[in-house]
Amino acid sequence: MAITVAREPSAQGKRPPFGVKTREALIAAIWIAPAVAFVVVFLLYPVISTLWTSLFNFDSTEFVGLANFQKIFTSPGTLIVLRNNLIWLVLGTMATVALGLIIAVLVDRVRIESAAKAAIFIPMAISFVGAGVIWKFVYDYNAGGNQIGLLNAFITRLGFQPQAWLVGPGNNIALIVVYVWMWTGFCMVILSAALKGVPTDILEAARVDGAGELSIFFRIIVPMISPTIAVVATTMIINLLKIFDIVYVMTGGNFNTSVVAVEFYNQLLIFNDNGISSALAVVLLVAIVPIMIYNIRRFRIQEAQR
Amino acid sequence: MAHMDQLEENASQEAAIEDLVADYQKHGVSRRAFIQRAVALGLSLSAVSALLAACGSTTSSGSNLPTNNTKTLSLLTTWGGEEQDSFKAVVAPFTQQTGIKVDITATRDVNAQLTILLKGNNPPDIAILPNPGKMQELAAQHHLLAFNSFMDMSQIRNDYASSWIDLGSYNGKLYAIFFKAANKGTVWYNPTQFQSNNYTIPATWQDMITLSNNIASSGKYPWSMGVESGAASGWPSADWVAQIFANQSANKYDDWVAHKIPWTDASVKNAFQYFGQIAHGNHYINGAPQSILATNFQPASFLPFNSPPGAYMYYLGDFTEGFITTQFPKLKPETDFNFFSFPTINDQYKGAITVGADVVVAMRDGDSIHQLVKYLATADAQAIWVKRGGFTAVNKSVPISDYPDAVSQASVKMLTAAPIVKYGAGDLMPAQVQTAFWKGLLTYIQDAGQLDTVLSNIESTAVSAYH
Repeated sequence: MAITVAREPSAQGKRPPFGVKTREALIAAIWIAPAVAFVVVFLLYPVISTLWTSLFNFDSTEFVGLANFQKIFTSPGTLIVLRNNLIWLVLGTMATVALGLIIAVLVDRVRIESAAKAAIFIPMAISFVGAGVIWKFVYDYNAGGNQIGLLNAFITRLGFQPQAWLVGPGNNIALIVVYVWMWTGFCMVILSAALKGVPTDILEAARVDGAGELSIFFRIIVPMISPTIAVVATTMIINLLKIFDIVYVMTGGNFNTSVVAVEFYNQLLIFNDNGISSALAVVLLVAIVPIMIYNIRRFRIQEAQR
Repeated sequence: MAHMDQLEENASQEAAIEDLVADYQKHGVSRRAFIQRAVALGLSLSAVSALLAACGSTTSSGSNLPTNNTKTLSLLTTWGGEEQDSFKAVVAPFTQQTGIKVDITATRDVNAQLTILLKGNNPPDIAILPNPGKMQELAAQHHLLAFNSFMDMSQIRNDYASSWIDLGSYNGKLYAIFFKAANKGTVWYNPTQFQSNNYTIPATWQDMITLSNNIASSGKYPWSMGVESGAASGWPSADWVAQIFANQSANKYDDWVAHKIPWTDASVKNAFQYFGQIAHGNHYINGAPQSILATNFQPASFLPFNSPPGAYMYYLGDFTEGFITTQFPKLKPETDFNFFSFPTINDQYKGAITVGADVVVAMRDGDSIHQLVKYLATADAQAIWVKRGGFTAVNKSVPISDYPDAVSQASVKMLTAAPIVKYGAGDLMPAQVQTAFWKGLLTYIQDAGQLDTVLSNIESTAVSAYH
């Protein structure tokens, strides 16, 4: 109303070129245009272009249909890569979230809480590449002579044989440990903040009613902070699907430790195969989309509850 | 009558080809489309490629490469640390004389870096590639500057052996200067230890196995081996296999490289198995097979020179001398460390060696670039690095007396006198195949029983990679 009144003098004598409804729509369109353009240029176009490229051969000159995907899901090499990603996904998410939660609950009860949290959070400040290099030293192996690797120095001191951690079976676990070391702190900090939001009167009421600490944890704390747990877990899942640096730095993807992102890097930049590399990117995208949808849905429900 | 038809057809074919050539030159029809259309017109493939080469020479007379006419050049290389210092010493007098500055970027992943720069249409002025396979690929894609137009070719032919010029050429034009070479027919040992233990230098493979068994039976480890090298892990073992292959069936070497024989061929399997005699030898290598995979090739070269020695022999190219002298600066060449020539396997190919070399290519055009390429090709420039050590020049005009010690002089003499010189096989293959070769060897080292699977896996990669 105010607007039409204010515009009245200038529009006098002339009919406005559009109706009020169209004008509003036009203004809305102008406001939203930069954001849409941004999404189209930096998100939609690359996605479509990648999808398109994934249907072509190595130098994008010949249409091959789904042959690239068929190669990915049939060749033994890439099957191992997919398997590794799955191991990373399951173990990495479980370990970071579970450890983060346990530590958050435990440090909540000690006096040196902030110091303990800082110590566990510090590895977050190190880059993936830096952490990879540090842990490469930790896992260092020397067949004869002095062990400069922390882990082998430790176990030889205990009288065991030194192990080539990054080569033998279980090397994927050795790599996941590095990720857990880095990201447990992140999970802990967020979950700890959520814990502080659990009202103490509920906990006290439960204690008065005779509930043990364990049942308080599982029946009250966990359900109350479950939205936060979901956020942390989905963040970890998305992080883990994209994992690249640790693997690339520590094993170069050798000895059956390669993951999709490393394979993608090799295919695109070393082998110059546009088709397979785009197809791998599409596989990652497809894997991430459901998690994104879940995240957005949950976010909407939360917004609605406010 | 039939004859007339033929003539008419020829005339129309000629006109069609002329159209096609005009399309190619003016409208940028892709090579593939060009070839398809030309073949459809009834030309044979060899005729098409000749035609393409002819078209190429008319369009690229001015060269389609981006130019750089400034006095600052960018250079991409894999050399870091000491090697880069030496290279800077080579370039310093050039900068002093001409005022042209050279910005060096070092990367371990030169292939990946180049792909990124080329996709961004921003290639470096000069690149120094560790593998001529990549150079051939880039030349085929028209990313390289041909040197013929501005270099003194008679000087080049005087300074470089024709085999090196051939390796650096594509379609008859020179695109690369071979700069820093490596003789990969060298087995390193500790002469003092050999003397005190009465070990004799093996002349044949059988002698070497006998010696190894002899050392092993006394409770010591004859060999040291380490193939870890980050994402490129496995290459030292690929060098082993190539060197064995050259000594075993040099006549088939080029066919192997060009994938004219499959990886499952008996000759390839045989070379792997000979390598396996060392890698899987009973009590040959401490901690094998895990230690082979987990140990970096550089520290692995130290074992024969530790006291007490952790091993007695180590195979890798002549650049190993640099590792040894850096780690043990007090060791004296010839008495404390030395190499023997790779033992003979097949008398017919006695003295065959494999080599490696870094190649200098230009990816832009411009006067400063011409000057730097010309300079790097000269014996004077290369002698600077030769005197600093760790450099084997391909240029024949670098005097042997410039090499810093008897060991490096012996290596150069071996390189120039070798009756059969083969370029390291992996570096000539497509990147996929080279990587599959490396990874396959990692599997084979871990498990000798996997050999057939490994070879057929590499073969299936090769089938799709040799386009």
